[in-house]
Amino acid sequence: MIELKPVDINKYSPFSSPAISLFVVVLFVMFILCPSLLCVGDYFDFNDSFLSSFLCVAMILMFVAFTRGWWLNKFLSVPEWRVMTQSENWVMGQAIQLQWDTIEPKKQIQSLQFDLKKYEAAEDTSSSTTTYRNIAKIAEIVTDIQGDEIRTGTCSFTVPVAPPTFSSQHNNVEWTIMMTCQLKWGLTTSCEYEVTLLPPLIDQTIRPPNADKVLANEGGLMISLANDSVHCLPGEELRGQVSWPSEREDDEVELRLLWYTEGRGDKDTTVVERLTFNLSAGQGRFELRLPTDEPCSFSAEYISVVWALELAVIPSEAAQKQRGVFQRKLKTKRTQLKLIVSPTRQPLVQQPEADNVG
Amino acid sequence: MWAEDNPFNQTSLERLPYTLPGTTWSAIRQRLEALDYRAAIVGPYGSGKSRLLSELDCRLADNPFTVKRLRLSNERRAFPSGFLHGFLKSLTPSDLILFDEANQLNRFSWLYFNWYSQRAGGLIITSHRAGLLPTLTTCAVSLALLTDLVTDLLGHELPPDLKPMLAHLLRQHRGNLHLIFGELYEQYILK
Repeated sequence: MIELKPVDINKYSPFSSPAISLFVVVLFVMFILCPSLLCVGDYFDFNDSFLSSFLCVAMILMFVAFTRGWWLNKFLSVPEWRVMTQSENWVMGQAIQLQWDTIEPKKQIQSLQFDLKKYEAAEDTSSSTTTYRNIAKIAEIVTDIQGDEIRTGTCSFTVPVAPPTFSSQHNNVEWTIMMTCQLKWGLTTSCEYEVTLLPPLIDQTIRPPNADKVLANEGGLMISLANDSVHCLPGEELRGQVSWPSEREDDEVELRLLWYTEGRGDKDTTVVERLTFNLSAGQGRFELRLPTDEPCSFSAEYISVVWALELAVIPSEAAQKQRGVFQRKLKTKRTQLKLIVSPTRQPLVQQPEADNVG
Repeated sequence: MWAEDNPFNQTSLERLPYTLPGTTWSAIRQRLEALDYRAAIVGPYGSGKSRLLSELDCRLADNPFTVKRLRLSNERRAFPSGFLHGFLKSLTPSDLILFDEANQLNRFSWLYFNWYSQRAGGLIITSHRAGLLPTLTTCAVSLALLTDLVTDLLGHELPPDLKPMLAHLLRQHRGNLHLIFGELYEQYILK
């Protein structure tokens, strides 16, 4: 068992507590409302008695507010947590056991809940740099707590299939497990721990869908795949044929195996493999092996990873120079055959919330 | 709706053909020559100034100029210390500077930049306010343009409920296309 690394320790939400809200209301009635009403009838010396006591209480409250975490920890006995699991890297479909305990045991816990949360951060730099975040609760693991003196417990759940942990220049998918604890007086405390979600293990028995388009043809550029399907497993071999029209002599022809991100943020592209062809040949054959250490195809709300074979005819420098004054640069001609590279032969998408076991 | 299917994702937005705001490329070229290639593209946030600058980059690079691009933004309002001095020193008459959001420079820095950039063959800037350089063109987003862009992105005629929504978004975001498309992206996630 290893201890999970906390992201945000002891995040208190005292205003969610009815007890604390009631306490604030009582203070208001005692020190503001009642003295104000009494002052009307000259029964109470507002300046001397009320103002000084009010200021004292206000200062104490401000001090408590500024040092909230420390005071709550000391006087409201909010315990510190430790959550352990068999590994930080969770494989989808795997059963995970969580073991938790309080470093400083107290008799405060009313209920405890774990939430698996996904954070998508997509950065858009097209105008000003803006990062869009999408936070979604994927699974809820409720633990039953009975009795007063709870110091430790375990719970288990199955990691759902969802977009895996992913990171590129402008796009990130991160996962955390968040523990929320109800304490006495309705006070809640939460701790968040970073985890890595990995795609499920490769299942060789899954067959690709029958009706599949294995041909891309655009502007005379053609990619024809010899494989039965574009739904591939990582590590599989791709074979096929490409053809192109030869217009200008110096142009370059390139076949790229690549993946890119699509969505709310900037597009990040990684070319995994490049093959160059002789332009005058007009056609060529290719054999490529899909990598196993690159991100697999997935779809989320803000970020998707798309795999593709791209055939590109790149205009030469000489051709660029020959264009007329104030004419647009010559574009690279390209065609793409989209692939799905995933251990399940389908893009990993977030499944409906699974039933979780306490 | 997943990110790759969302019609308002970044890739789809980048694929949109650029529409010149009420002018033609030959008129832009003539005006640039008349202004000796020192001009400003003016318009509010998200009105397509940077996109027009990129289009100019595609048309002017290598032929006849070597384009040098500079960019500031709300998050980066100044260049690193010493950068401008080195940059301005390296300029030659065959260089054309395309400077996005030049209005972020403070008054003193702008005067310094404007003076020493005369070594270059040209300077085209984008700015939210007029007056830094003679105006080349003014960018603005109209409801007709927004409707055309959204129709292009969706690939079919607009549904009847979307037209009043676009008019509302245009007013709400004061013609800022980034914010309008961002809000439409969020709407399509829920579909």
